[in-house]
Amino acid sequence: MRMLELLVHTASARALAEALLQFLWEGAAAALLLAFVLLACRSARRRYATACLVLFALPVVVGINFWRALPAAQAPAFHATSTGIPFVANTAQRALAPAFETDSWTGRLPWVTPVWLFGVLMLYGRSLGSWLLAQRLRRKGVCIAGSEWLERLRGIQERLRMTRPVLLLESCMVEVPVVIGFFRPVILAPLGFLSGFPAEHVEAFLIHELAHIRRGDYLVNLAQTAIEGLLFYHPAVWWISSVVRAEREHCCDDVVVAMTGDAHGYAAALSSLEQKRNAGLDTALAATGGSLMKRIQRLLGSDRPRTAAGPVIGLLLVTAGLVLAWTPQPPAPPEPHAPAAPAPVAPPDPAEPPAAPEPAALPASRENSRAQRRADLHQLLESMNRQIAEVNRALEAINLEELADDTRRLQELNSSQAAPVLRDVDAMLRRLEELRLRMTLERSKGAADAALLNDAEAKKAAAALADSTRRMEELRIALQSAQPVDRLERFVQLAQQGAQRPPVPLVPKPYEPPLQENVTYIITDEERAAWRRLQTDEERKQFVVQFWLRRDPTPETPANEFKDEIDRRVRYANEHFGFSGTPGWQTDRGRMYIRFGPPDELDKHPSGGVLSPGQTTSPYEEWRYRFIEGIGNNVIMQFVDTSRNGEYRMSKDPAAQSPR
Amino acid sequence: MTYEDRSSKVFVEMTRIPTNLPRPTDGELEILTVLWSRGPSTVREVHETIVRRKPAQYTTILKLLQIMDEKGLVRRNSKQRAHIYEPTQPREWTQRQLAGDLLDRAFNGSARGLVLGALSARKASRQELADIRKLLDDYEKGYPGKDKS
Repeated sequence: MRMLELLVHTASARALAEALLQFLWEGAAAALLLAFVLLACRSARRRYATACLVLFALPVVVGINFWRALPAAQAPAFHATSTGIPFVANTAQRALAPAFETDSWTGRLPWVTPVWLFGVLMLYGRSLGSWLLAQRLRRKGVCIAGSEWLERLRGIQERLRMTRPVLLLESCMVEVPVVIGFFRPVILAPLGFLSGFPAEHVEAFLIHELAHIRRGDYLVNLAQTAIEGLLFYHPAVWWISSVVRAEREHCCDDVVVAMTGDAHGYAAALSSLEQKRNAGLDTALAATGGSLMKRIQRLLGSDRPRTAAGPVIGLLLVTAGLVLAWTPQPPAPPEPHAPAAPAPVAPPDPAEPPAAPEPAALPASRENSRAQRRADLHQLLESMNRQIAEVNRALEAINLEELADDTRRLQELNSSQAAPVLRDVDAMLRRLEELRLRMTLERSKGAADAALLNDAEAKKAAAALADSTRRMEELRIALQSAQPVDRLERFVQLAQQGAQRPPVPLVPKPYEPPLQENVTYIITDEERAAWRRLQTDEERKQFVVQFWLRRDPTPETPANEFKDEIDRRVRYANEHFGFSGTPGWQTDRGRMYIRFGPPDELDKHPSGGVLSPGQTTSPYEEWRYRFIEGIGNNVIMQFVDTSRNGEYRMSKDPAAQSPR
Repeated sequence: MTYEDRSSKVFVEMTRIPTNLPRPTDGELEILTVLWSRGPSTVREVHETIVRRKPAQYTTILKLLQIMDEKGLVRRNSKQRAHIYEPTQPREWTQRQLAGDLLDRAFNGSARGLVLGALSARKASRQELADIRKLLDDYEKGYPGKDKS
């Protein structure tokens, strides 16, 4: 209790209470000032600088209040004692102070200081805990990103002219990419983010985070948190702080767009990450109008009609703040030697009346926006040329090496293993298609901008754009000839032409539902075509039933001997032919076993054949079938385990020579 | 690959059954992170990845992996000569597991405010996401129209 009394009754406590209450209207005035500036100013950097300036001025204002209130607060407390004692030396006498207290003064501001102090301690405790947790995020559950990403990060840093080393880690604890630390900054990417998103999206995010680091935002954010904690009781402080936060993101967004030249792509990246984060987890049912929406609107340039909303909210807040400030007893700035009970007579005369918004900004803005648009146009041109180069490269890659490489790989692979290759191809094609869409979008944007700007330079740029557009059209035509279906068919053709190995029973149409292992090798081509045309699961189920029924040697009995035999073969193959990672039914031996049953003769050489004394070959097996329908008599198959890991591959396939 | 897809489906179904695995220590979590990031790996690969960030002994990693194998946090595939380890749990598992941590429980929300990210700590609502998607679509549709005028 004594402690509390100390907090209430000492001179500094009273001065502090005075200062804090006085800040109520000062803070509101500051917010009003900021709101006016924001109305006049559209550049994110300028808005951010102003908001920061205002925010950091707030604690200074409170400090000045305090120093001005101190002598007045001291005077009544010590009028009975010697007035010459300096405040700092008074600690011993503080306990005496209440004795000399006149009730009227403290009666008005009784618990302001302790309540405030309690709040500050709580908030600072919370901040400290958060900070510790954030520090731990740097170390716990992290793993350094792959070297190709570190390389890429370094490339972006060079383009941003940053020299400070930045570490890129993958973390299993965060859901979105974040930056932690000021002196040794790290970027934490959630696991699966680097590999799971399109590379341009990841790069855009990395630029955003690096922009935070370059601007020293982490430190500013800490200072901001400190100020919030200190002046937590004033809504204007929270509003100003939120402006700083929002504008900070806008500044970094601008860096990304300036560097990639693709605002729409970046907006799409932001929204797709947000969507991914929300997928499956319980979505917050918060009201709309969050910051992401505003940012995306800003990126797409469609936020103009909304500009009024921010300041209006600000004004409302400020008015609320002002009302709040007036409801308690308005603390008149005390005269240096005022008596202990100053009557609350006059409303406080504002020491700093809210300055009028700078009118200078308005006439200049038109010219600015013109220059801005011209700059945008040039940027667009550059980005388009970059993309043309990229597409050119991609096309080259498709036409030559890729195709050859994929074909070679396809020839080596079994049907089951071809699926990932085809998936890769598909992904690449999808990416190209995406690029094409984006290019079209940007071309129209460029044309629109050029039409709006009616001056010589813009016309020159527009002409260059038209030229690029023409080239882009050519590229589009080239791209269209590389449609997925054509390409896949070409794959199959090539694979079959050059095949030494069995013509791969390709299941390459990407959308074919998988067949069960017992069906896939004995299905006929007609049946497979029919299977592909099926639409619903119900139809597929029915198809499989019919499939077996057609093959049942004794349809009148419930048992299907044929199916039982095939199932037995699958089981046998899985038990005997599997090796690391691949189940038996997918191996060459398994495929043959399921299709043709056990061989009539089997020659096993598990330790290799002997060529000459001391020289052996890889382990191999020779299977002989006396007769296979559609192939012929005395069919011999050879399987060799060249890598000696249990993977016997067919080296001589009679089916390849005879028509099926 | 088809087989892996199938097996991972089975695997996901298996993990839906609530498992009573011990919470991993910080060291174990780091190894799990490496495995989640790289996919199934040998001890040497895990060690190489960790050493790129901080000094660590090969034997320590080996020991930890063996302990984790016993605990059931990882599973060992010994069919090949070098033992390959893979995590038994999907990576989403940790976030649920570690939520029990005291520091996490107390400060999780506010810590997100201290770090900086391209996306805010607050998740967007479903409505908001739908609005954003509509905005992007409109933008894509809208521009060619302006082109004509």
